[in-house]
Amino acid sequence: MSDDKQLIQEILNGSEAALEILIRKYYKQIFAFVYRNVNNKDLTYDLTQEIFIKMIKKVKSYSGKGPFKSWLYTLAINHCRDYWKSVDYKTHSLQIDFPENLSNERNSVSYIFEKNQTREKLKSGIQELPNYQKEAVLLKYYHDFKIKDIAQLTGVNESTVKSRLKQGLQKLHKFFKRGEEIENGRVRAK
Amino acid sequence: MEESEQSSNLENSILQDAEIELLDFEMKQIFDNYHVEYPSDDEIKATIKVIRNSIPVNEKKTDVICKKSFSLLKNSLREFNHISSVFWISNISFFIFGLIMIFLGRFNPYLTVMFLSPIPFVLGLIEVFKSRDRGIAELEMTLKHSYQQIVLSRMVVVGCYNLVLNVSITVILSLFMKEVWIWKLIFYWSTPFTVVSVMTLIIESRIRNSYTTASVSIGIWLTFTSCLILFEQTIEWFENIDVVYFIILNFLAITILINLVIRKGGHFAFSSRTFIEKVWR
Repeated sequence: MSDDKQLIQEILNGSEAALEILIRKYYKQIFAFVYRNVNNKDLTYDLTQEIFIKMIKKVKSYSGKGPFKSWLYTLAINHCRDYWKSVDYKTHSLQIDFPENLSNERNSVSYIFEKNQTREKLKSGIQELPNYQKEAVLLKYYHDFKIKDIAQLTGVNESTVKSRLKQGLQKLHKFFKRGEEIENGRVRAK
Repeated sequence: MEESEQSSNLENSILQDAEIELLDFEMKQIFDNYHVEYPSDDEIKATIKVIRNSIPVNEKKTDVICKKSFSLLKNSLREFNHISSVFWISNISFFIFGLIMIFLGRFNPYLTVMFLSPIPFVLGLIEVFKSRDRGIAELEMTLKHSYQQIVLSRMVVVGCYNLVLNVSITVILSLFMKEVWIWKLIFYWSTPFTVVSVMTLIIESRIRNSYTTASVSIGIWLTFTSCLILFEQTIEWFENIDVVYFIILNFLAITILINLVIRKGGHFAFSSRTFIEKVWR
């Protein structure tokens, strides 16, 4: 029995310690996935918490056939999809939350890194991708899932995943090129 | 081995053409820049604390069933006091009137019992859904007990009252009318009771107004029984129906009825929780 399955068994027997170990093991991975999806720290914190609550409520239904990690990522993907469909997202996306984020993050240590243009450009580029392409790119490049796994997690076939990845990369590349051209144009104008 | 090779081929196929290969290489360098600012350990601990409350309690299935049944019984007893006295009195009056007609008016006991048997449940639906019809369902939803719990508890009260009346009339008739065949009597009230209840719940789910539903159901039931009683041939045909058909009809109706009551109990759910979670919390 794998470590995860053993932990789940203990959780089902009511072990809080096993629950803490399991959450700590996957917390950062899930947080990072959600953060790169929604690009808002407070919201990510809430959504991650909801994903783990969902996990604990549904853990009985985990058959143990596939890896627990994939099962948990499926929950995370579906939860993000639910969020994108939600009224919260629709209202939130209409609001300009940039100043709030800026003021929050100005106070944090990582503000210096926030200034990093590449990172900002990358964040915006990823946010501009359609959700299905964003999912594929994030799972492949940040969570080391193989195309076959991404296909299973997102419920599509492998050729669709490949095409989403290609299109996503092309769009991101174009986005960066466009940014560079604008930068170069500015330099020439000066 | 073969599978991993296949998988690796697939992985590589994304890099088949030079452009994509370059893209993959370039973007990988850029992707490294996207760092995530994680929550503090205290924040993670707070999350764990919240999630800890949702940890499954390891209870035996029988314990869970006992607990939930007890809770349903308790809720039904509470709802017993909230059901209008008009409902209790009117239904008992119908049954007393039925008994008088059988004993004094020499009415056919089987057909009288059959006619009366589903009426309390049909009229009881007005009580079950009265808060929705009066527009106070939202208010009830804000109370300690969910609206689904209230609906289910009231259905249990109404159904049990109907059963008590039917059983009482059966006992009285079997005690005072020796010629009455008890099994025949039971089939004559149990079949319409279950079938008409199913029909009423189906109508209710379409019309969504208990007063109209009760009127339509009673109308249909009156028409059916009148057609049956008014003609000698139909009575004869009805009395010659094989008991097996009654058993099959009863079985089917009970199955559908349980399913409908469960759906009604959870009808006002707005989330994807299971019925058991919603109704018997």
